[in-house]
Amino acid sequence: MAEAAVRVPGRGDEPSAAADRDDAILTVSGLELRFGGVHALAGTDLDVRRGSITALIGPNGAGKTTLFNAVTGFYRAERGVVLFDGQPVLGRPPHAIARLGMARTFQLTKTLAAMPVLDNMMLAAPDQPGERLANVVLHPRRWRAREDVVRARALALLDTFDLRDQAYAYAGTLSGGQRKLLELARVLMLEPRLILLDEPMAGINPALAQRLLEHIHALREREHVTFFFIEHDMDVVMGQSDRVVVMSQGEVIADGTPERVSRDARVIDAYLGSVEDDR
Amino acid sequence: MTLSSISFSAFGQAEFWIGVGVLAGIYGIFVLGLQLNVGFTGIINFGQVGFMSIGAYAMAILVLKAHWSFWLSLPAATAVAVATGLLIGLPSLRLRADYFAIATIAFAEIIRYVAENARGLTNGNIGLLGFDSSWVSVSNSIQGWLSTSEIQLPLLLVTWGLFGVLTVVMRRVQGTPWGRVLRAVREDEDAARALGKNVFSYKLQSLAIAATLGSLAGYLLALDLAFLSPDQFDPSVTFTGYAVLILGGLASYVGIAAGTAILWVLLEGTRFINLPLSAEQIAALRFVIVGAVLIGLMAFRPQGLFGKREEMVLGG
Repeated sequence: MAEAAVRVPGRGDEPSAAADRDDAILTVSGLELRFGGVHALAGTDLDVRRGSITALIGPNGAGKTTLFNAVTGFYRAERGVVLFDGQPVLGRPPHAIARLGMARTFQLTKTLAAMPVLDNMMLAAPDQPGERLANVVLHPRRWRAREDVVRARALALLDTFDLRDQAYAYAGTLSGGQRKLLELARVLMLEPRLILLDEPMAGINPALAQRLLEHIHALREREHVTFFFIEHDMDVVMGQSDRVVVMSQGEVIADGTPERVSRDARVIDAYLGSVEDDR
Repeated sequence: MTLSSISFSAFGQAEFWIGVGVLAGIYGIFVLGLQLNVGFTGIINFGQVGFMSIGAYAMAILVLKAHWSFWLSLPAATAVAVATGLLIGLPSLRLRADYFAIATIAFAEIIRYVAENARGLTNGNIGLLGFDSSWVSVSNSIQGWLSTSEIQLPLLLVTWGLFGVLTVVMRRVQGTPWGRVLRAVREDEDAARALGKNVFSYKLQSLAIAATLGSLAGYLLALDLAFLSPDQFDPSVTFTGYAVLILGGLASYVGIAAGTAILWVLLEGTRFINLPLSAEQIAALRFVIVGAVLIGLMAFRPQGLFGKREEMVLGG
């Protein structure tokens, strides 16, 4: 329990800390989750600022993916508070949280392999009355009209992501990098305000990675989407994000601008130091 | 010296083949439910025969014991089957796919043992008779209009007519956004959840519809045999259904019609092969032949006759 009380170093000395809290799209406080005896989340506290691109880093086993799973409802946290846009979401099922506007992708892409790319996209659209059996029978015009709108949006997005030519191919035939693009494009169909990306750059070639980053920046500028992403590539983390949150052993040990975080003694000790050792 | 010969004496008899056709149609409707669960939702339902049994028994019991009109008993029997489906699904659909499969086979066996032992309602192994008089009079009038002497021809027409209509309905529903969510659940439940779909609710709906189709097949089987006993609903019914599904090809509707027709012609047609074997041995041989056909299919055409190979390979 003692860990839960530890506040994040580096936050208190920022003059705008109070203002940041007000402008947080995601607030996590005192989040606890145990697997057997292991404290996967040991009273995790963090904020994600609205409109930011925030990176989540930490050594393997730090609890980054666990945090994503707990925040999006895939795991049930035992204690703590998660506020999305001021609304408490802990205890809600994953599908309900996704509908609120907090969407996520997975470390191993979860494209629906035996469905066409276009179906992958259209599936994700919210407010499709045709997903209720009663409407399918009683209001065929309503869902068909919505389907037209959804299809147009899906094709436009596929165009943006250079996947238009593959629209009618099975998603399973795409390359690994294309699947990552599809997953990002698909999550956008949900029209989310916050997107949690779990290692979006892992396993894709540098050219595609660059495109993915351009898309992320463009979406932030144009549609004010907030991004919170787990990443191991330090160049991406330091070069692309406005803020970096560092986790170690289920706790946030640092939180701030990339420059500040990269100078933090605890971070260097817990994370960057070990990376240096690897090299 | 002749080791074997095929006797065509019964082979050309219309009555026999009409009987085979009725069974094939009943299994077609039965398998439509399995198809929805296994082929389109990815839930492994090994208890489909339980819904068939409930549909048949609820209909017969309502008619014989509660003196309901036969026609009213049909929707009521389906409602009972759906309610049971929801009851089974609520606790067990959260289980992993393989545990759910075990739960459903247990459910179907429980239903069968209840039918054997609740003698006050079901007459146990002696069985139930005389629930079909309303149907027999309708059947007789249809026979009169058609001026045919084939007693089972009306049932054949009703069964295949219903099978045809249901196939069209299921196909169309499959092409809607609702069907798309089901396929997403089949592919990856977590992905569907992450995209805002209530996976549990869709699985429950899928099971309820399978229960509906199972109950329809159930009362058609009861009308076909004009008799109900628990041993008509042993687990082999479900697995024969799976054989139809595998033969025709998962996620193919043409496949169900072709699969059920081929399987029943194989099963029943082999009765006419005269071998120097006892009746029991021939009965067993029929299943050996069906088994051999299925093994051959798995080896050379795992997607079945009409299944899509890409979906099979990519979905794995």
